[in-house]
Amino acid sequence: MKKLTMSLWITGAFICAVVIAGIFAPLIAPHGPYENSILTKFTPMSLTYPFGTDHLGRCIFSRIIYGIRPTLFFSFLIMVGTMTLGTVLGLMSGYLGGKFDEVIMRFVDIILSFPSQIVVLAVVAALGNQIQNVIIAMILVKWAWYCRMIRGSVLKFRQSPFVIYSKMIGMPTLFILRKHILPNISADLTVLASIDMGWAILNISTLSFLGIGVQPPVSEWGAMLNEAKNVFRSNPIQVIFPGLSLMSVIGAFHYMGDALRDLWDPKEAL
Amino acid sequence: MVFELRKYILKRLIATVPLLVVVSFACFLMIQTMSSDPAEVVLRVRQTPIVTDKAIEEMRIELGLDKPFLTRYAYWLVDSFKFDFGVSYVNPARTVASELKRCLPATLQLALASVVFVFMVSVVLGTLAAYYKDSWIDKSIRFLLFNFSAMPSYWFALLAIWFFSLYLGWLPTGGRGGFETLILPVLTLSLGQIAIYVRLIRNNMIEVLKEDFVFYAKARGIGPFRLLTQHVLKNSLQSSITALGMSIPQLIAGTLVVETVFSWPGIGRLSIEAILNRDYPIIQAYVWLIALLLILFNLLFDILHAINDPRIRN
Repeated sequence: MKKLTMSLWITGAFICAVVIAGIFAPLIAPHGPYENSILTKFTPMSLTYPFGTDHLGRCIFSRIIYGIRPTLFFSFLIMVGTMTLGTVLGLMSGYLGGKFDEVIMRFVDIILSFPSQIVVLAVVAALGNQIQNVIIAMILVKWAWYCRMIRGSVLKFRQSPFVIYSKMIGMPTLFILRKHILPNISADLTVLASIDMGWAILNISTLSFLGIGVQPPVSEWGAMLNEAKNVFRSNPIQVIFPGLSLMSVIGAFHYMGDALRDLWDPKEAL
Repeated sequence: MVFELRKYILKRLIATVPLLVVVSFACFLMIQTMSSDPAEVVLRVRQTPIVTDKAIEEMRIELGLDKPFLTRYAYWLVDSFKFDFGVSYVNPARTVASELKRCLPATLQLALASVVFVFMVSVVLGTLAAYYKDSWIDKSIRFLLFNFSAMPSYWFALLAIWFFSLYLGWLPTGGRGGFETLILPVLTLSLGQIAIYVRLIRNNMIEVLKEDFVFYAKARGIGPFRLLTQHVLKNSLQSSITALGMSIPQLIAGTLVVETVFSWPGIGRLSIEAILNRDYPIIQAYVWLIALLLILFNLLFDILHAINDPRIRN
């Protein structure tokens, strides 16, 4: 158990460090994200350019540091959106049951029968190729999955003695949901939120890699890889660092989700 | 018993019908609510020199857009079951059905090869990880897969092209041809899935290994290989097979990125092109096709699961 919390601390510290680096990007990055020069094109790694430079002579390290901002910020928005929708509807659906539950769950079934990636693309094609449309589309396709998971967690507590007692002495539904159900499923929520962040980062970057959402001059990691792909044959090394950054941050969120679940729910951990 | 099963199947079948209706309606609606007028889009992509109101009006009639909404939906639905999705806006010489027919085999080949690959690799790795639970074998398998699952698939694809195609020169960088063109796309498509199934198989197997019959088989002196292959595997694969079957449509939908990176001529790439060109009939047909596959595969494997496991019928 001690080892588990130790690695959890390390993961948490890593994520905090990334967030702080993103906030104070201008102080940490040695160069500006758009500072280009034909003279420094494809410079190898050095002290001035820790990760080298790209095809426009921009410092890759600085671009990665600045890239934390769009990557984490947009994913955070998606996470908050999906979790809010999923939690509110999942709570009500699981607790109230009956007709309401039936309607919501059928709706969830419908959303889950669409391929999420292609729906995001179709929505973006319809509304226009902008990042806000990508965010809206991702929230629309993903909340259903969380709604179903959260409903499952709520069902576990719906018939528990403290809820029945509370209901019996006439406490209002909202009070029961807030004071009894929500605290009990907060562990599940945190795990889901952590996994959701990883999912959102992966998908935002995948779309910007395909040229949808965040567009190339912006130093988002997926968009950087999109640019790197175009000069892949002349300078393959350019794909290394944006990808490594993505992998470590996504991995950190996944690991945090797993470790938290092991910590709170040892039964599931094998 | 048989009666109960029949009732379950009937119940699942009946529940599917409204789902199909609503999903098809949503597919139809999604394209109808798009911001730009399809008639105008058609005129633009066909590079009509001057787009006049009269031309738009004529195009609306040609595309059948002047009919009432529900009539259009009914026509579309009936036609779609005849595999008739109309004509591509971008290239009126091609029907959507012929475009799908041209691209579907490539995607199916990729998806099915990946399913087979995922299954084989997951069974082997999952079994090893479960049998040597908490040893260095288990730990390194899990460590590797954890890293792979955090890797964006397009990044893995780029690295693989770099190493195997540009550096070693063993495999082609893209396109569809013989067996060697299949290797990298299948590997890329499978990675994320393998991580899921190894975990599932490992966890199931650890449970099965605790059962009495395993203890008894060991007591009879059955060696580890025979024990695992003939006794344990069969009992721990059920849920994985169900899950894998249900994931086939997801693999087909997941070919989007892989097909783009490896220029694989499948429906994923077709639909991305359609989205960039606003070729609505193709997008519509693609979304409907994948949704239909998802629903049908879910139904099929739910029923198969119920046949295997009587407990879930209620």
